[in-house]
Amino acid sequence: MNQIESRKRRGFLVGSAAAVAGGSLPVAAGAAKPAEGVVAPTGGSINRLSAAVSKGLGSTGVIEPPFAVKVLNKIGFGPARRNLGFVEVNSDVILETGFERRSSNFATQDDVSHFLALGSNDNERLNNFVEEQLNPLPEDPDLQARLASAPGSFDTLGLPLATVWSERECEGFSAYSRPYFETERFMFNAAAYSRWQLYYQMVDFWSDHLNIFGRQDEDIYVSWSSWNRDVLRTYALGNFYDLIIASAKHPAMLRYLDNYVNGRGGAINENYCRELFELHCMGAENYAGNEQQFDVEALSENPYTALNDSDLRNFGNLDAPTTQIARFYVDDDVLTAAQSMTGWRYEDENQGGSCGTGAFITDEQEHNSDSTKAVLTLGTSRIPSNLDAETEGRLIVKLAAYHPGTANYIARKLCTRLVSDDPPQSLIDKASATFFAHRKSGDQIKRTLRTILTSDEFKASLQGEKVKRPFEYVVSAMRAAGTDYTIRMSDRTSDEFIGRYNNTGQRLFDWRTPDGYPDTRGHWEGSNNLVQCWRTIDWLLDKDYRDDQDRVTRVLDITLDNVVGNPTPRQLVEFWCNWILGFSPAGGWTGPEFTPYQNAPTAVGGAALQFLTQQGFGGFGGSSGQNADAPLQPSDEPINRNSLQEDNSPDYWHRRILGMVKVILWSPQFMQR
Amino acid sequence: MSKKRSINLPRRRFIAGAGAAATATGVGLGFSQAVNAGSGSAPTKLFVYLFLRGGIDGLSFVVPTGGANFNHYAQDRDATFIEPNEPLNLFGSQFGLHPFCTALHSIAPRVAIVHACGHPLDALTRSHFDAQETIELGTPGNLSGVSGFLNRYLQTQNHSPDAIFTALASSSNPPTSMAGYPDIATLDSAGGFSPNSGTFADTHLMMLDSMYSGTGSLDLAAQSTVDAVNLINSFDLDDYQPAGGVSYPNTGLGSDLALIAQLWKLDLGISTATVDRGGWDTHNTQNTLNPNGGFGRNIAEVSDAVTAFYLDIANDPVKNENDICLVIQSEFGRQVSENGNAGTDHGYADPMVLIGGLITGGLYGTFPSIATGDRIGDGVMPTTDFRNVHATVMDRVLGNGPGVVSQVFPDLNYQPVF
Repeated sequence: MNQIESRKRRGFLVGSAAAVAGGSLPVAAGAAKPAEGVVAPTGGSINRLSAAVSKGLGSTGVIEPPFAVKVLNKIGFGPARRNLGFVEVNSDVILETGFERRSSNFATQDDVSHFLALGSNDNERLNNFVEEQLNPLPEDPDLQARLASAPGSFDTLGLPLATVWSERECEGFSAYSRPYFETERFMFNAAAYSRWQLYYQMVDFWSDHLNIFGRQDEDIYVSWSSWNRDVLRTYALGNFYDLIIASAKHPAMLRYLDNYVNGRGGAINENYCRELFELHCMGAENYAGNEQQFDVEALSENPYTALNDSDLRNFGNLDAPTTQIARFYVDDDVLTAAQSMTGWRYEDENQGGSCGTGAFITDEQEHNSDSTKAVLTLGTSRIPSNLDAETEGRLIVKLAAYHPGTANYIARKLCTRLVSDDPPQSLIDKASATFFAHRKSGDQIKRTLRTILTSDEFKASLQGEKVKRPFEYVVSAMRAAGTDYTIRMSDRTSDEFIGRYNNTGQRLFDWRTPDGYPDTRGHWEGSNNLVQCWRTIDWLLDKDYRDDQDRVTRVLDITLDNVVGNPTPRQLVEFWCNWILGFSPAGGWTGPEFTPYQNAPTAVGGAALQFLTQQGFGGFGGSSGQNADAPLQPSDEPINRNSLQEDNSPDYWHRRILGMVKVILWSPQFMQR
Repeated sequence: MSKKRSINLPRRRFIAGAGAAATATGVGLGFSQAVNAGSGSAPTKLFVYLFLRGGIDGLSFVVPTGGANFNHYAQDRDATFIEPNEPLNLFGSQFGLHPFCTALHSIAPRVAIVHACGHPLDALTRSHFDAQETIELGTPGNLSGVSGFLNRYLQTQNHSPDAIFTALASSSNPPTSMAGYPDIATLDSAGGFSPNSGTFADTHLMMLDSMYSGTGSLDLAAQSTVDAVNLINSFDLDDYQPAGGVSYPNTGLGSDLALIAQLWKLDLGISTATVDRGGWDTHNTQNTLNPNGGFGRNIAEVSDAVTAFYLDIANDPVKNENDICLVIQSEFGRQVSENGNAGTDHGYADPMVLIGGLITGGLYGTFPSIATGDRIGDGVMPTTDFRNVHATVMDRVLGNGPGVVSQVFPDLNYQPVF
């Protein structure tokens, strides 16, 4: 494969697909393409179908939300609703003023109103919101209250690795697996209840980027709380090299990619180094296959010169302006790097006595430093012989992490997560430039995120350029629908939730290969994914719904707290669409009073109204063709307030309202971000 | 009050506009966007594609037992070595199946093994992800495509307008091999396959249908999903009795293949099905002959499951084993030399296995010399382009004729393997 071809590899896949799409795109007649760089409207009142189609959205029926809602959907796990102070549309009709939520001890300010209070225009609000999210404070009241409400459920999260390992690694399954299961439950609570949404979005991102199959064996299970805390959470917004070197030395990664057995002579094991280059740093887009090292094109200048890095200077003059550095990596770089990283180990029960500690150690007897080595230097051997294992391995990680190919690859992945399945190249370039310029900064990732999230491209991106992955989808539903439950250990309801969620195809930490769960919609549009996502929502709303104390999601409470008097089905639908989706379009979701459900201006409003009223199903009765599940209720006829709390045949009002809320949560408007 | 459950038997919805929609959403049909609905007899053949993810040690699956290659193999293996008297002899040759493959060996007259399959020499890769992607795209050396080879194959099939499913992926997620095909039913298990099953189940499904009536990729996916839910709920899939007293292993692969057999027998219109089995990336402690773990357990499961599938169809009073072909492939083999951890690192060529009623059992292709100097990167040198195996299956085993090959693999210099 020649150089040109190799550059066109994986990284260009998305772009080429888009080019194909652009060439033969059937734009609806009369639908004008939006001007380039247009900023999404803040009114949220325009059905931008043409924009949706030309952007290649997953569903053509999505209405562009207000700026605040879009930002909250893209940056984190969607807005959480706590009060409705900001709502203006129709608020005099159906919403009580001065509402105070009564049923939760964990209420905080509503996300949308918080965003809107951060400035006088969208740019100002966005900048302030991004700054706030990029600088998470230790205070995280909702999440802390959640964790505190489940004593004993999260004990290993704060303990040092050595403590957890030495006490649990050589005990039975329930002992060594505990850190894994605590972390799994922690991540649901964190994503659902934390104020620092971008932070946990990034923890999730790095968890895929540095994917480890969490259930591989006891050493990975037992180190899981440390992996999540000491690697992913510590460096989520920090410096990329720091993140990668921390991952390289962590027992979970040493174990998963077999670097812990990489040794001298016949014991060479290239698994870790291959993924260090291909997945963690430079990406397959910068892989030139089995070319000879000296055949690879050199970069026009040495990218390491500007770093002023003592390792790169002291060991082989790798940062000298005259040292040629390869644009791409080849198989021989991987194999040689694997030699450099021989002897990396962790202290397990064989070596440390008792259970060991999981600490990173090196075995110099197994480290091959007999000869000089060439990695990314076009075949010229520059890494000196006789380096110790830690130093030589560190050098390899620096060569990979500081390479310009890494900046491009990471920038593309970040933009793909935060903006679009097909992010604009202009944005990738900007993000890459920031990432590259700040390779030595402690806030390198933070700066890169700032570049992305305050860019014109981000502001112009649309809701629906991403299909929510199951974790994003389920957590965003918990936030939107008022889930009021701490997912904890040794708790049947939590176990049921996890069991149901695990069928969605994105069980946490459960992707077996090191590339992590895919981040584009093609992977997540299988029937099984969709059914199990919808089914998990069904569980969330139904679980213990009749029990005023224990119900997992507070749909009934929210309804009664916010809806005045005897509401009509239309009022209930308008209220719940607004609550779940974060806004109301100018004409409402269902149209003015007496608008038939078929003529509702939005598909989701029409469907929710049809469901709640049980119209258009051929009637209720049980004869052939009578497909309604309950008696008809006219759209604008009030329902007795007391009936809403009842769940009696044949109206089943309580579960009917739950069912209507499910319809909204199942809608394409909510399934995408 | 209970109501008679009404089943909306699904309609075919992907045909009109599917090409346009898929293109608009960046999925992209490679070509042949016209689905030949209603223009002839519906396909009656089934292509089942079992992908062994992780890169199988082909030398532990189809094991050299004699000759010079046995000596080369024996010399570089230790913990992963299989003594020459243990493999189950194949057709009197100097190869045998792994000793745990007694089931597969029992149907050997209907099993074709193609030696040393892999990427062409100018497109070799040792990356799992590159190798799997380019195999599934059917484009060695080129990752830029957006259309899987089974998508292109599916496009050539005359699916009946009455077909309910045409493509089945027995996994949570659609595989790359079917990328671009707008009508994939992914189905992990039949149990619990509905958004809810309570009082409002029917009207809920209708509302999902109504909200996803657009032409985006998610719209199409949701429509297929609603069809799938309706269908699955209309059949009793949890109480399946295989034909002829066959029993599938009680494993993920066993139940996946049982579900494919079951749906095939229901005449839903399926022409292509995929199933995955992972666990072959045996860098460390391969456990080649361990019946309870690692390679040994995995290969026994594969053998038992694919044999059960074949016999289930062969014994069925209605279905005919001549109408199916099951193809087993992995992304690459392992190195000939064992590594220092009683495991094996990424290599190149490995065998592909075909099972079907119209297969004449035998060893096909060429097993190259594995003398040290004849290897490539210590892997087995590929001698058969994997695309020629799929092409042979489509052309000769499933009876589509050679014309199908140019549509599925337009760049292939087609050379049938038998």
